[in-house]
Amino acid sequence: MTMSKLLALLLLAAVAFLDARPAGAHAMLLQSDPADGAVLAQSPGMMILRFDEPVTLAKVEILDSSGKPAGGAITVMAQDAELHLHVPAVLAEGTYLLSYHVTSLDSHPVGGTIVFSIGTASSAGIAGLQSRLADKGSPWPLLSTTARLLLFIGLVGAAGGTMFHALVGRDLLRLDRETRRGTVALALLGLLAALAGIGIEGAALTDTGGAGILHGGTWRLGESTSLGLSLTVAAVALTILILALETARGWLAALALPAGLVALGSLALTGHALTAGPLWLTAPVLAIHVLMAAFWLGALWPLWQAVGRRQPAAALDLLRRFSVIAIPAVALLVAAGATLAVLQLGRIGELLTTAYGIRLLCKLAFVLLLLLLAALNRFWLTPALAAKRSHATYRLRASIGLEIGLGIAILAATSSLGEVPPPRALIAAAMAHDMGVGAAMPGFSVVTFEGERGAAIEVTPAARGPNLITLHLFDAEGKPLTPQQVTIEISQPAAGVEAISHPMTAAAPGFYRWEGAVLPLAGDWKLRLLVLISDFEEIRFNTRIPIR
Amino acid sequence: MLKSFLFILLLGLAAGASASAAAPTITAEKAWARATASAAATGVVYLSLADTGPAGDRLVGVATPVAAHAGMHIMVMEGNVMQMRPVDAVDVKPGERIEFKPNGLHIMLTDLKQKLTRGERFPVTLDFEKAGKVDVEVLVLPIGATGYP
Repeated sequence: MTMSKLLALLLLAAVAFLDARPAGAHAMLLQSDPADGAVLAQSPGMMILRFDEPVTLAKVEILDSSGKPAGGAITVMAQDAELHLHVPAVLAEGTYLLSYHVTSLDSHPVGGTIVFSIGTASSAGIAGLQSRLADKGSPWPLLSTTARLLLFIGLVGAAGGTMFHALVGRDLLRLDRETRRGTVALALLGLLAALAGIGIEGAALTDTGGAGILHGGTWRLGESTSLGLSLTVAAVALTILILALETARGWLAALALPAGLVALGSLALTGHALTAGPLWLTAPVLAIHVLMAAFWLGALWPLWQAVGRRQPAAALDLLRRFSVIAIPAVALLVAAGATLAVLQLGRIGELLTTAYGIRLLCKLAFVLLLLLLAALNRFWLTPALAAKRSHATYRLRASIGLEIGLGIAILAATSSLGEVPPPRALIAAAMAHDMGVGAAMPGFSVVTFEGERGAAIEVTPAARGPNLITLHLFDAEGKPLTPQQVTIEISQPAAGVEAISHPMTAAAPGFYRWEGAVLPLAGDWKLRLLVLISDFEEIRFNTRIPIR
Repeated sequence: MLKSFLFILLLGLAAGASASAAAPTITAEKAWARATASAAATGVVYLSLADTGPAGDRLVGVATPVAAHAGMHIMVMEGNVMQMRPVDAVDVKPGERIEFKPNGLHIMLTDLKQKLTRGERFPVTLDFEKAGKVDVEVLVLPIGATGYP
């Protein structure tokens, strides 16, 4: 009974969460003194950060161009929406980075950096800041995929299993202890994964550090998204399912199947698939796909149990009853999945050329294998059991065990699909860019040629401060160039910033990234690429990029 | 008599000089688009650009009356995945010929206002930094076309 009370409390907490106000209210830096990119005549004793609402300081530091802390022990005075930073030590000539982390009224974490120089904007100083702003791999996408996978396993195992017990086993209210415990454990897994997923979504959106997940604001942000809503519905439904399975009260136990169905339905509340076409089409099709998949995969563990534990006659009876429902269910599953795939992919060719397409192909390969195994069971192994052949039980059980493994692989492939935008989302992002909407990344991209070879250069966000520069080098046919060495030189002669040189490393053939390129001043920057094709041939691309 | 003649000659030369200075050196030709199925909302235009002048230019925008939005994009490889990236500017260097072609640079038309029918023609306006707006006529080729005939 304590378990039930705990879950009831969790249920109440989740419902309370639903009432959270949307997190549109986090603080923004309006102005700073020194301004971002400023060149000061002497060391600033006092620096001011002005936000649009009162904030509490979490952390502030000044780093010199080699990444070492500078300025001494900074003391901070808060005055309304301003933070006054007292810098005790005198800063020498050079370029510095002021890095701040504050929390707004709703405890949402906000951070940023301001680049400033004393004396002259030295390119050596700017170049030195690159190491400090090096790319820190974000853990959130992987955590998000993992949480999603665990949620799928919990949902499919518990809700799908409940569907099996209700419709095929017809013994939902009379489950033996082990089955009941196992189903509740799976539901608990799904419940915890759903709750964790809310926080992970908030953390991923703000790309906060590890500690950011402990802030209440991060969770409220996650809750305010459509994914947050879907996860909350799943969590509440799974809680009701657990309570229904554990109870002796008839009215509560009867809620098990509806709760399971609602939990599965929550997956149709969010995701790429939902926005693939008109809602009246995608929502029901997705719901059907999820329900059929859960029924099929959720039946595997109960069937595995039945074949091992029960008398062959009872097991065969279950298998036959399962088959009758499973065949049309799988047909519906495949039809619904095909509809969604067609909506997501523009052309069949995209199956091989896009990241989404390749992951989808993986999933389809696993599904095909699962179908083959199911056919094997239906046409060979089950009749063998009926004919009382030797080792029939063992073989059928092993086959179902293999199906369970494939089922998990399919769920893993599905959860990884969620991280990659489907092709039509790429087109939509391209459209947003064309319309000047900030939905796609702000920035500037230029394509420049040198003879037959071309370079596509993108600078994001093409504003003062740290930028991400990506580069694609290609030949006359559009195939990636694989030179021996690529060096980029950026300079702004008008402001007296001499060339900053940086060797580029390839993230993929012909594809280069430089994260943390600091462009401290606005205006037109000259970009030059020195590409060493071979020992005898070097080509140079010259172009310019406007920086706000 | 001689003075008037010289004066008129001078005027004529000045007019001729200013006319040739204003003459655009950018050429846009062989513009083609793929025909679209009736429900298609996006179309694609390819063409060939060249600059015969001494300074070169930069293409910074595109527009067309047949679509609500038009933008330049390029297909690039990242590992074994082909990505479509938006392009804000294309440098056209003097003496260079820039080809917009399948699997490379292209102009994407979104929110098409009409179906693109094979054989028909429609205008696209290219916006250059120096040369300003340059119109080019686009010929619609069959759906599976891979290049200008």
